[in-house]
Amino acid sequence: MTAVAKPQDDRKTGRKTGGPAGVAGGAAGGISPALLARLAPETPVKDAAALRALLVARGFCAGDAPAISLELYGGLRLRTGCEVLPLKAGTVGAALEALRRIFPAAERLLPADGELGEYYRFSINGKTVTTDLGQPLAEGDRLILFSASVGG
Amino acid sequence: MDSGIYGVHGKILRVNLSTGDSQTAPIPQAIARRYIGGIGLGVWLLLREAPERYEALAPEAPLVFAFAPLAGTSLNTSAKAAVLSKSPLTGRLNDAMISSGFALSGKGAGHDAIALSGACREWSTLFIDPEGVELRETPELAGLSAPETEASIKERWGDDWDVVSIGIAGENQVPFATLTHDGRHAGRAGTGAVMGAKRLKALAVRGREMPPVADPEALKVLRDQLKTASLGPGTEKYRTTGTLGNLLVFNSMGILPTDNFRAGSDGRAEGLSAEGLFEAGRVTRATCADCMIGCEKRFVNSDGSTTRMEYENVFALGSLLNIWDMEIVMAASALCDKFGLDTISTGGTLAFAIECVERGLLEAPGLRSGDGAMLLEAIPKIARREGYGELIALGSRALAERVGQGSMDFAPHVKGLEIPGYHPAALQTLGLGLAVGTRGADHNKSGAYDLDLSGEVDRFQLDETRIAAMVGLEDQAAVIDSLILCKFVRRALGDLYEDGAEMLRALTGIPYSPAELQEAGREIHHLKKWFNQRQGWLETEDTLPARFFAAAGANGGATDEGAGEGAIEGIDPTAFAKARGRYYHLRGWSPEGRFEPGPELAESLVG
Repeated sequence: MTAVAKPQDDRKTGRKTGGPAGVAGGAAGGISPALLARLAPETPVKDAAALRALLVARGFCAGDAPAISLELYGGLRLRTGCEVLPLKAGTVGAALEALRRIFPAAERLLPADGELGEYYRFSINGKTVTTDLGQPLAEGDRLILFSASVGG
Repeated sequence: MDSGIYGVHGKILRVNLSTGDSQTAPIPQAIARRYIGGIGLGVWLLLREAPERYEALAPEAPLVFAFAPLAGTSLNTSAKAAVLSKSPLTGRLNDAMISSGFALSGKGAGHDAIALSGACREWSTLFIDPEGVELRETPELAGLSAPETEASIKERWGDDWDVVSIGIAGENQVPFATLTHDGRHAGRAGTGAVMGAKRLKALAVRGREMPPVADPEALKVLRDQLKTASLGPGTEKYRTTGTLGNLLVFNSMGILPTDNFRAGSDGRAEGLSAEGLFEAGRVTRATCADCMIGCEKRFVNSDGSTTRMEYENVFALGSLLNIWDMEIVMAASALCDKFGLDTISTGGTLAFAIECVERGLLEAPGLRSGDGAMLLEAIPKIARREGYGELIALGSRALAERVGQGSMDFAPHVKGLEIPGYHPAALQTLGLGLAVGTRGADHNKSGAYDLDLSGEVDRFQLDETRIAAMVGLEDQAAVIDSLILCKFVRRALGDLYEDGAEMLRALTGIPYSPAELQEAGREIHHLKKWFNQRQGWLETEDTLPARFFAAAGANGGATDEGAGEGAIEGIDPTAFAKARGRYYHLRGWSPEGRFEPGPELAESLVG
């Protein structure tokens, strides 16, 4: 994975951010500067691997789980300022739990686990769609969290 | 005085534009109950008013506006009306919707539906209110855009008129011209051309004569419940980013049509993202009348003006044409609004024409993929039918018929209606839904993307097990379109049939049951099918372009050598045929897909 921290100003220009995530397999994207400032105000976090390690060190995710990336869109991206969150998570549910803990502000947009599947879906690597929080994840998986309201 | 009829007026208005004569007629109560209102009532009325076989732009072609039981009740998202005609683009049913004040004033004018026939001698405006009907010649409005027309009518005759009107594309009978009210459109399949053929520049309605409600207290409770549910997680996407929130997610999942459907994603998609625009402070919000969701997001242009920002506009005028500059795409969208052109058909036909040029099948100097200046130049040409605009104004199917040389294989349409922003090979249940759609490729009538993205089916394959659920979604759409509610509240409702029946009971006093409403959805779908059969429907129409099938071969299929980055596998044609057969079976139609109406239906359409 090549996720890197992306300056806020780049997103404001609307410039493209890396490859066609999900098809070409190379998701790059911005990580919330606010999150970086909160987690590591003294130490610059240079890349996704460093942020992932920091999140493990701070207890947001388990160190022995597969390294994955969680892609956020819509309200969740706007609320968190984060496009791609590098995590360690063995299941979809573990990734979701990490998201909730890292971004308490996202909690307001996310229903309880039992209702989540009614309003949100997960896609693994842009292919499999699931609402099963127990779905296992593998090293390098891209997990996409998206609204079930897809019409329009 | 209590008329004994609640929630609806129980009558229609017929206007002959050739003579200016008008008359009202009662709607049989059994019909009003069975087909509810909106699309259901409208398609029944269209069948009743129309000759068995006719040309979409002939004077005798009916144009029906059908209002809805729930309109005027303040139930969230209920300010919608239906517009029905035969489509000049498809030759099949066009059951369109339009939102906001027109739906309220139209019902408030005192009728459940308005059926127009004939044609005006001169460009005219039809005024309808509870006091009567007046057809006025308004040649001075010809050549104005729809917003200019609306403003002019309000300035001259009063701000209490709500107006639907056509722009220059409608005047020129471009077969994908829109009909516009307050910046919103009955957009697809050419209602604007039908109005243009009647030389009717505008229809203005006003009035507050809403029928009484049978149980106001019960309706108030339901209204409050819907209000609360409408602000929950089921509408979060629409409230936050609007429909454009689809774009980046679709891109990440290979669903975003790009480059005339040659791929389902592109690395430049971020340039068209809602998220980026919100972060950059380039978005304002707006709502329809009687709506608390506010899905409407408006792009703030460099000059401070705003343009409505919808996923379908951005896909059709952006990714489909390899244009990734939001300023250009929004400028093009504003031009389509100004001239009164459906954005999906405009972008779809341009994308097809460009591929024809690239393949050496068509000479149209200036048409180039990824060229924003070309796009901005093309839209007025299409509306005015100037230069190559005359070719694009045909729509992709008719253009492919003219170009020949196998180009129909990659013309992006179903029944002549250009395919919306969902790659059919990446959402194969929806692909089938588009293929069998009575309006052609209409994502508002199928909704099978809900199934494809439910996690319960493999969206890259088709099988027969999911077809019952797909049929169920079509029937639900028919009921929502007849009540009428916006489909964006569908996830805020518990059970559509239970909730809908409860709303209708409170409103009309008629003891609707959930099962009755479910059956109504099925019957309404049959009406649509029958309309198409009367107009010459053939089984061969219920398909997708060859491009989307696995064996597309040299004509640019997704699996072809040279298909670019983001290309996806095609649909298995055998699985598609089996699934379609299952669909016909579950609909109760013949193996060839034909519906046989019973005598009761046939009798309801005469007399």
